[in-house]
Amino acid sequence: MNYSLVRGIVGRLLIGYALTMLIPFILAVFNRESSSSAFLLSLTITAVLGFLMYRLRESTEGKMGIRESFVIVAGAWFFTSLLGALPFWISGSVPTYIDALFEAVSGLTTTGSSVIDDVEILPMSILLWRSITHWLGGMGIIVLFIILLPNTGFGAVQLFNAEVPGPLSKRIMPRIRDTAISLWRIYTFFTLVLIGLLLAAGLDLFDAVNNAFSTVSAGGFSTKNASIMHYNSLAIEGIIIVFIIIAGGNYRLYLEAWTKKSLKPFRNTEFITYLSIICVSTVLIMGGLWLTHDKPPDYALRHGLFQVVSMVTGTGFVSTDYDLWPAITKLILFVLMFIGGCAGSTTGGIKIARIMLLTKHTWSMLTRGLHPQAVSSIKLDGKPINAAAVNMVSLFFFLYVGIFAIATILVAGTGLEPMDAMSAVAASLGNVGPGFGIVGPTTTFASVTIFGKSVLILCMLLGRLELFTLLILLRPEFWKTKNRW
Amino acid sequence: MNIPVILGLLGRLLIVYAGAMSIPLVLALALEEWSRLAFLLSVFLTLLTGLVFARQAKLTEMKIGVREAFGSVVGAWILASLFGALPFQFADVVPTYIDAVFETVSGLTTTGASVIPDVESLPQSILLWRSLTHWLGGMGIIVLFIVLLPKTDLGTVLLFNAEVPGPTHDRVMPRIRDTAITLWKIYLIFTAICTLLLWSAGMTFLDAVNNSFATIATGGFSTKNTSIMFYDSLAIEMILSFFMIVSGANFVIYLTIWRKKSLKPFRNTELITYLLIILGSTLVIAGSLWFNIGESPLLAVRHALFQVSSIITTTGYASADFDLWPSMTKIILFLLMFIGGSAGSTSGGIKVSRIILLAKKTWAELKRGIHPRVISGIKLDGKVIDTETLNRVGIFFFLYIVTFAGASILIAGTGLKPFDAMSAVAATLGNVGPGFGFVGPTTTFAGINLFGKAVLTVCMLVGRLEFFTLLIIFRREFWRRQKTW
Amino acid sequence: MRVVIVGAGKVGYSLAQYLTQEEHEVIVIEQDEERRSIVQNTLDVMTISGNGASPGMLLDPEIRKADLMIAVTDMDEVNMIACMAAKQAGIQRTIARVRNQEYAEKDKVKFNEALGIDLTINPEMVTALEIKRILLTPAALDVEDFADDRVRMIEVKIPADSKLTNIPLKRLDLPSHTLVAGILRNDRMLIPHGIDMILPNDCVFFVGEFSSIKKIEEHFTVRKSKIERVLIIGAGRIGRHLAIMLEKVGISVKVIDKDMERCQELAEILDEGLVLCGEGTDIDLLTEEGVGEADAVMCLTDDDKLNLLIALLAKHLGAPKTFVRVGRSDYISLMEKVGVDVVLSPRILTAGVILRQVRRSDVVSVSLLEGAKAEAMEIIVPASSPVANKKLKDAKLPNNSLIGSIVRGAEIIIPNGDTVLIPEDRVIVFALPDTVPTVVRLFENKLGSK
Repeated sequence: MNYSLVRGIVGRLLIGYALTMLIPFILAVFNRESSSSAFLLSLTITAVLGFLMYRLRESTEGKMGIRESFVIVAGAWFFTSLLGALPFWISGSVPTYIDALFEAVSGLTTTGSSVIDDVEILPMSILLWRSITHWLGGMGIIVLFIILLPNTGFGAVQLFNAEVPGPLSKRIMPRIRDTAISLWRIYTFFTLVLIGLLLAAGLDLFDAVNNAFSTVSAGGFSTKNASIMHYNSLAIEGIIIVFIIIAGGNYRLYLEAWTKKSLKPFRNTEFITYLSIICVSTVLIMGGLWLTHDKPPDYALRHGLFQVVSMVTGTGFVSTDYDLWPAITKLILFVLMFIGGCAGSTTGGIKIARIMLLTKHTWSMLTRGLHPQAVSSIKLDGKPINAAAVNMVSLFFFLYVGIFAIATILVAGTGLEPMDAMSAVAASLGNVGPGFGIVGPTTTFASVTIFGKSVLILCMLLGRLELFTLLILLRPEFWKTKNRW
Repeated sequence: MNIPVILGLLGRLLIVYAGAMSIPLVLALALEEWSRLAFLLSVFLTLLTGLVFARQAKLTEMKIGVREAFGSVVGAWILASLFGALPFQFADVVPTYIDAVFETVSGLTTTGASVIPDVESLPQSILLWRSLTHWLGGMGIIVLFIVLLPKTDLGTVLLFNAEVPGPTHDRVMPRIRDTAITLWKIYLIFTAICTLLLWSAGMTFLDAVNNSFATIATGGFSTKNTSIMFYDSLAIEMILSFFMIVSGANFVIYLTIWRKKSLKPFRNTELITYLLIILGSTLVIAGSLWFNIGESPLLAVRHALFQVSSIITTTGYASADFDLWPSMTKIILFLLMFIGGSAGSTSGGIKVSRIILLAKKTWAELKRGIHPRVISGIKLDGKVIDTETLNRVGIFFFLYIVTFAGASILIAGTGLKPFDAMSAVAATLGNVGPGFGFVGPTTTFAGINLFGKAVLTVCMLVGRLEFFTLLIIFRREFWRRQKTW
Repeated sequence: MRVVIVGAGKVGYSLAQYLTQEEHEVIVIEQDEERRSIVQNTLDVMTISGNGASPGMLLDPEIRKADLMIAVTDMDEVNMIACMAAKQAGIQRTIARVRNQEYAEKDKVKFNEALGIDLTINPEMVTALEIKRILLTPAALDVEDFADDRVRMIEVKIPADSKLTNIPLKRLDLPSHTLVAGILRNDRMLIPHGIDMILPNDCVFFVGEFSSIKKIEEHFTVRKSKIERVLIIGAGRIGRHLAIMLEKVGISVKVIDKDMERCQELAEILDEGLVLCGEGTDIDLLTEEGVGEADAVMCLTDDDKLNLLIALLAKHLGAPKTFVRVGRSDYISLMEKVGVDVVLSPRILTAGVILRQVRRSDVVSVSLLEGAKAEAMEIIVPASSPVANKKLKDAKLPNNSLIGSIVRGAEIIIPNGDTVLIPEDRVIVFALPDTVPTVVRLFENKLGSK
């Protein structure tokens, strides 16, 4: 492994990361907040560490292999999490460093589960930093980095694939860097539009910016303790619903629609399935609320839809305390946490494309039951998907469920009730945010033990990097030096 | 599909089934119980239907293709469930016919979930019939049928494969019928030994017979309301634990040992993994019972071992109210419901060998992440597993989880709490029996509404026939009359 | 002796060539007219066109007179049937090339006896075994074992700074029970005398008792690194046999082949080894898989040019040791010159095994060294031979030959001029090809020859 190359790239990335910390720092100085020194210190540490790593490389020469790209991506997420936790810790917003780390990872992975019980007393700069971590992590730290680095000579492709795995990645533009730039442009565009709309709906600038960051990245950190419930405004909820749905769609579709100036790309099987899932779940939940809890239909529609899109995209905003809802609606929300949004979106979870591939595969498997000699191929949007990719998908599914099971045992070991433990893990693994019960919509993760928090931190990272990128580091060959070839 | 052939086959099966039903009839007559009329009527009805069906096709004219095989297996299970429910219905021990069917399916699929709150008030003949359905269903109705019918070119291979669980079917003897006979012989021997041991440990003879039927078939119907807790005897618990573990292992292993007179077949990866899972879970649960609720270590081990072997082999006996145990132990037991025993055993669940295959495949797939061009073969006990089988295993896992999720939502719709609903579905899909909370070890399924019972009945059948057999009949091609189209 | 060779493929051709050089009568049976005429026009042999396995062919009186039948067609089954038919027709000894390892598994002896085959030979297996032997002796370029592995011969390249150079052999301080048996200098083989000296960059053949030779090996082993990582390019028969054998002795193996199906097959056999589907000439793939970190790279594809290219590539990327399989033995010296460490020809190796059979039964084994530039033979001294009970200096051994060791009972003797040869001794003789017939004659069993 070419550690020198890895150090060089991660070092440069950290310098870039330090620059983003400047934004909350300026805000803190401007507002004369107590947290300004915390930001200054974190910023300096990050910059110095980045600079040291960058200078300590022996050479930038050398080829980027597969291993290097995995290590860079894993390393990038590792360091940004560790360093991103510094402002929370130094400013004293959280009791321990693990808590700070939890908060930072939750931000970067766009999970949005918090350990801070009372966010409204936090300085504005800290709140902004929470939202910024969402926004950075949403489209991907590495993707951002690919844009900022002029020389794409080294394995941009490998890096991109390691961070944006997805079951099917097709190239829309000839160069990865151009793709990345366009993706970020659309991302920024959505964010700006949303900020405008939220301002128009009556939020102040600060809240609008923060909520826009959280929404577009499908994150879920809010500036209020009661999340979106706080505003209790139909307009705001409506705007946010639309943008959450957008954030859960495949960004390639927007990119294609943008470049081709046509709406045709939206006739995409995954996108349609995504919308159908939202509709069906909303109707079911409405039914559940209306019939068993006697809620009026308009309440049921408004909150049903809001919670469904918030869960399926892994955002985790809350417009009402769904923990009090009937069991069936809770289970539907629980299942939605697993499904997640479309591939290539800012959401977590298994992803709809994968579920569709598996369903199609099952169907063709049944054909083979009747016609044992049949040869079939699985198609999505008219394009055949090769068998190896389909296999990977079913293994991904197995791994996802397997990791969920093991993490649940560990978290239940810290004393959570079974359902609470399961929902905590599902919410972390799917980058959703709040779960049920003790980690429900009106509470935080603060009461989970340190061990439990560490497990959940791991789950969030695994979920964000879609398991394989991190799990590959577990294979002994990966670390093989010469002696272990 | 050739309907007359299927009817002819099913008719003969019903005649055999009527024969089995006359055993409790004899008992009822001997003990002069009031249930004798119910049995008389049921035997008569079953026999009559059987005779009518059997006239549809002559044994010599039967040609069984893929479709007919699937049709017969599904038909056999449905008819056996419907007719097996008659005694319960006529004897009026359950409120509705759906309840009776639930009880029968629960028996035949060796689930052991009951809707009768007070079994101790039931006549002995009804109790025997419950256990007998376990015993018949454990090794498989069709397998029994293969044994009893002299003719062999009836597509026995297809029938056998459609009913016997597990990802692969090894042929130990040249003829399926010989294999089936030997399997039944081993099954009989185990049952006899278990009966004798239980009898000598202090049970009455009838209890011993009933419990050994339920144990060897990994069923779980008990003759007491409080299951094995009633006896509170270390000896009985140990005997049962031992035989549950024995029945949860692959019967083909016993068959090979029988044939080859050597102990080598025990060195089987699946068997070893299965035992290790039991050991590991027992230790963790015992530890948790010791530390968290202060049971003495010995008692903790005793309870943990019994519950773990009961749940992993999907028997469903309870020697303690595990619903009151700490959260982590509940989650572990919940997961064991999914894992199930070994392939080729009488247990349900996903099966240990499938989990092993998926884990191996995942590990190999991670290797591909580092060496993209690597070609790897997955081996189990030195035998290469082909891609088709691996695909099926992946899809099986997906189907299992999806069915679980879908059914859980439906059950939660009937008003159960999320975790109770999930455990009810997991327990029926895995053919375990009791779940947690509302359907816990000290309660029954009687409180669930009819719709919920219907869903769970389907779950039990789907779990027992391992999806493909049942799902295939949902394909349109299946119902077409012409063979080729 | 009259030898019938069925099949004039690569092995058949080289066998015919060696045997005619040793003045045996050779009859070649070949179905393919083109190949037959090539043999007819280049070698001094008799050729017959036809199917060697047909009884009709074997009724030919010319063929019935033969002492030995060697069946080396492409098909295992044809070879086996040819041998069976030959035995029926009265030919005394039969050799068949059988590539399919399944025929060579358990109960091989019984099976062969029933078929009337005296020896089956699998060229790819022989090659793989040879490679394995050389690999497990890291300092040596070639290793041959004699007398039930009690005597070993190794070929070592002498480094420029070696202390052994420029000293007359008789004053050289070697471990006891060892001897310099041959020196390869500028592509020419010398059978050395006491006054000859070892020069830098010579390849020297040491022979002697197993444990003493180990000491020499250790002396030349530069770093004490065992062979642990081997990259095999080409998953053909040799590659497959080799991968399986190496995996068994705990060496970590990577195999690269471009054929998906071959890869799949091998992947199903190997447990730990890695099978990669790709071009062996793909530099990216080679570097990604750490060719420079491999202890040895095996180039075993069916294409000589490709093998050479890959070997040079591997050398360039830092592989310390490269092995190449060649089809045409003429390339051996050329390849060694451009930097390939070990060049192996399955044909020559096979020929060595078969020659052992052709020569009298007193010759226990024959190894062809350096592409048949010299031979090492293990011979049991018959009581009636001209050299028996004579001192070596009186035995009139030809100039370009040398007795390397004598195994007498449990004892291993490094001979000098005064050593007496006793019947039933096993001697290891080195000889240049032109002197081989003379040597063989000297050790012939006079009584046995009819």
